[in-house]
Amino acid sequence: MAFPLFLEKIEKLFGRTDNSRSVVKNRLQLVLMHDRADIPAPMMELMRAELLAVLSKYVEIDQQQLEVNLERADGTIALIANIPIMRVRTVD
Amino acid sequence: MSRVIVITSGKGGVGKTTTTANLGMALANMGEKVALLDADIGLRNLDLVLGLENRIVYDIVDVVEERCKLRQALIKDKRNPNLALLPAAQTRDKTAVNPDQMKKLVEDLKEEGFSFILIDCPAGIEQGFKNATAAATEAIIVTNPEISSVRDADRIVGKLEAEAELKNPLLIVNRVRPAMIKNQEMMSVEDVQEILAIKLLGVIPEDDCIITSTNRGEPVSMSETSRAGQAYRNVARRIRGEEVPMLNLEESFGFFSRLKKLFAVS
Amino acid sequence: MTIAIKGTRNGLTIVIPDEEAWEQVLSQLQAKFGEQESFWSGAAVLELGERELEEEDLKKAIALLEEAKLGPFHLVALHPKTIETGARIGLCPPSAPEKLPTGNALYLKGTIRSGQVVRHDGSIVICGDVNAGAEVIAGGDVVVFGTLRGMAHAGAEGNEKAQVVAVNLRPTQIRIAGKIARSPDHGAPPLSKSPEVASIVGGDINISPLS
Repeated sequence: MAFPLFLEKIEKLFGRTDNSRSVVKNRLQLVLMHDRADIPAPMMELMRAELLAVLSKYVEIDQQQLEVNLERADGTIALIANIPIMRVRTVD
Repeated sequence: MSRVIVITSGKGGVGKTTTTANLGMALANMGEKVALLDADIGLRNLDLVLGLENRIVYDIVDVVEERCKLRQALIKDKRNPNLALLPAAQTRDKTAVNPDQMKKLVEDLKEEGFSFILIDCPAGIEQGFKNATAAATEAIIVTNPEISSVRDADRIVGKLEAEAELKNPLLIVNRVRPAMIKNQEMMSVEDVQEILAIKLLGVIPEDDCIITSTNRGEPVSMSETSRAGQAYRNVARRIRGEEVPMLNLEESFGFFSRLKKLFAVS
Repeated sequence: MTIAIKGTRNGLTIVIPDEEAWEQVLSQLQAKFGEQESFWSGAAVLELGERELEEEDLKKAIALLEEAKLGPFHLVALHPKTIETGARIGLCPPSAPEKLPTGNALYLKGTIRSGQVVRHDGSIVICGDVNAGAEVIAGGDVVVFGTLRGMAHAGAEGNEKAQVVAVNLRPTQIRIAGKIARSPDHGAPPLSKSPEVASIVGGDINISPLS
């Protein structure tokens, strides 16, 4: 028991950043980034439809399985699209 | 010229009602004529914090529905006649009042000669929030140094700017625990302010006196010995335009400030 | 036993004790109404109890009362022959019995919580607690078989005789007709060990033990 406590103290002394304060600050900053970048549902739907239109020119897509989502990973917000391709169209 | 300030937070339980009661009492004790308006219809609490619950005969809905005159519903504080409370209705809900009626009510309060009208906003961002913010020209956001209340406060800042046309809300960080901040176990006031990026109006330390004074129905800002009471009085002075340094609890936050204090003593 | 005279909302009620001889009754009536003839007037109810009366005897009493400017008369009697006698000379029971506020009581079981309102024209009987923030508004009495912490309004339509009764009376506010009383500001009142009743006494709401 005593040793980890001691370690914790040392970590604090050297300013290691995995204390709960910096953890919560990072989590909060991320979640706020997401909140502030919130794309309204109608806009998301429009984006999805336009993406589909463009991609459909080149590949045949399983429209039922298409997923477009705003996700956060590794400190950034990303638009993640999961587009199952059924067949590549042959170029005329 | 009266100032109409809404006290809001988004999240419940961060201390809106306590803040409203204490700022009201502190301003009244500084000679201001203050009306407190409880907009939390259906979940009335401001009367309890002020210890005026047994004097309520008419409430805000009675005024709006013209069952009584505004003056009849206003409850004069038993300690300071400069302070008056317009209580919420307990047996109705948020839909009993609409933003236009709220605006009319505040206009009528202005005509009664109040220099400050403080509106205690309910938690949430629905009808109650819209009512409470409709008539306000200034906003104070209360938050705790804790992830969920800061997130909600951020949402409120956005909504105030976008929907209520209340720019530049001021921040009160409530329930600050200096010891935890010192041990890096809690966000500091600076962390919160950095994230929300709005002007800091005050810092209220966590104080057991809040519980005991609420038990008695006496706002803690009446207490000379309570740290939270002192902090609330400072906020009231800042609202009136005085330059008041932040309470010295910030001074014991870090190593450097402690050093500064040592130097100052020697 | 002497006769008793009570003033009610519906006029005068004269209660004639069964044990007294009729001659005595008549002389008592003479004594009471002969002296103060200007004081009494209007309708009167004669309560005769179990007494059996002949037409002649009853007429004597009525004649005496009419002299004192009383009338019309109603008869409340239990003996069938007296009722019959009364009917023969045009005396009938009071047409509409005094509407008691307890006539159509609302009975509720359970706790009335903050924000809830119970409203009823007649009396309200609650088997349970009324919490702070709850309101009970009755045209008649409010009776709580439990703890009353909220607001109770008895006689909401103006009946000043209405009462608020609770096993444990600790309300934020009590209203009777147009009067309002609130609990004291400092310190909760000592918990009474017995049920209490709030009623208007001398123009103010008064709380006394329920006896």
